[in-house]
Amino acid sequence: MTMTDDKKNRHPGRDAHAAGGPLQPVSSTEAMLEDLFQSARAEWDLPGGNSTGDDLSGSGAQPSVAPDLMARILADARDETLARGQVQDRYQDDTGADTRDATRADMGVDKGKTSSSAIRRWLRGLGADLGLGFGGWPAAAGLTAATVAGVWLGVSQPQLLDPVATRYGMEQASLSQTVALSDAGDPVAGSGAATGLAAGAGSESDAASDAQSDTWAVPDLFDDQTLSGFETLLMNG
Amino acid sequence: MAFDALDQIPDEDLLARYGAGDQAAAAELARRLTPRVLGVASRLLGDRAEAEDVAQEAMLRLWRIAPEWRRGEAQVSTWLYRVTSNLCTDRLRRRRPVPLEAAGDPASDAPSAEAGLLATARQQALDQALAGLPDRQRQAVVLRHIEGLANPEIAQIMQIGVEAVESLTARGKRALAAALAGRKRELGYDDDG
Repeated sequence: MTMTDDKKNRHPGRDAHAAGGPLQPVSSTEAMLEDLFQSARAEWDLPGGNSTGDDLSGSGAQPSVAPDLMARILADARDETLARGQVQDRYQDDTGADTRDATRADMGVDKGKTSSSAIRRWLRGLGADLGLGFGGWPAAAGLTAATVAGVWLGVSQPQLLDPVATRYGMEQASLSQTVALSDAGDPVAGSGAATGLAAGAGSESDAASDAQSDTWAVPDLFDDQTLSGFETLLMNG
Repeated sequence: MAFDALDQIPDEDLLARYGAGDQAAAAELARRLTPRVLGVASRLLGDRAEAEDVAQEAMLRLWRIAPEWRRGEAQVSTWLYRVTSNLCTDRLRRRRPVPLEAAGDPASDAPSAEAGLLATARQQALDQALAGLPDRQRQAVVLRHIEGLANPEIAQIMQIGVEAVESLTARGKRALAAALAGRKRELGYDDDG
């Protein structure tokens, strides 16, 4: 058996014992123990067991291995290799769910967990792709804010927007105009109301414009008078 | 590759080759490591048949971990010693403890004058004394004084500190000495100390 000096030095007393020299025990019981340990090491100190392997640092206490035990160990090694090879082959030939499920079962992997994690990974990938396509999360946040603001302005128009819109040349068109103009009983204004309903009668007369400014403060839409105005409008074509 | 060449390859490289499907590497690893595993298991369990079962199981775990083995994290033999020790500990926990006195005398009382039988008696006495130690002490004493491992490696195997290994081996040796003190003359040692 080969043994490096370093490995020998790990056992105080063994060198002296092996060389036939005296041990230096604390007591005779200690000497007895060292002798028993030495006997135990020598019991299995058989040739052929050790090697020049990198890390077998023991003293050489190696029993002989029965051939049938070695055969079982090597058979295990072969079976493990075959099992891994089968799994790899199945993955390479992976064309259907049955094969995948069988492979998972062989590997002891829970099918449900695998499926959910696969979906989660796919969703994460999809989200990442979309996010990059739209410019990342800052762009997505801006787009969302703009969308919400647009919807809000469309549904609930702030009154402050009207004078601003007028200043910049836009025309006010509101069903509330018809209320005021129809109340005035002016046929011109009435026609203005009719055209106002079609968005933009302000240029026809100053009186109509005054009537418009008066009606901006009237928030009620679709009251009885408005509905009667609708009826009149529809009846007159 | 020729067998002689495999003999020169470090354990870790052999394990990587086995992980890639090389059965010759597995055979060399088994030739190299199984005697060690069997020796430790035999000392810890005191039962050859059980030790063989443990050795096969430990080697099987080595085959299974081969594809995922991470180089440089641990020595193969250290990992294998640890697995073997844990397997032995599990088996010992399932056993009912046998006190030293109940283990009986060596079977070779009458012809103890013959050297071979005396050696057998000594070995049986040591095995019985080892069996009476707590599991951790027995593990430390076997690895240190019979397997001849260094304390840092034993610390890795047992996953404790080097100081703890020293303490375990010292206490184990004291317990062994106490258990065997009364059998010196029977075992052929002079009782003058």
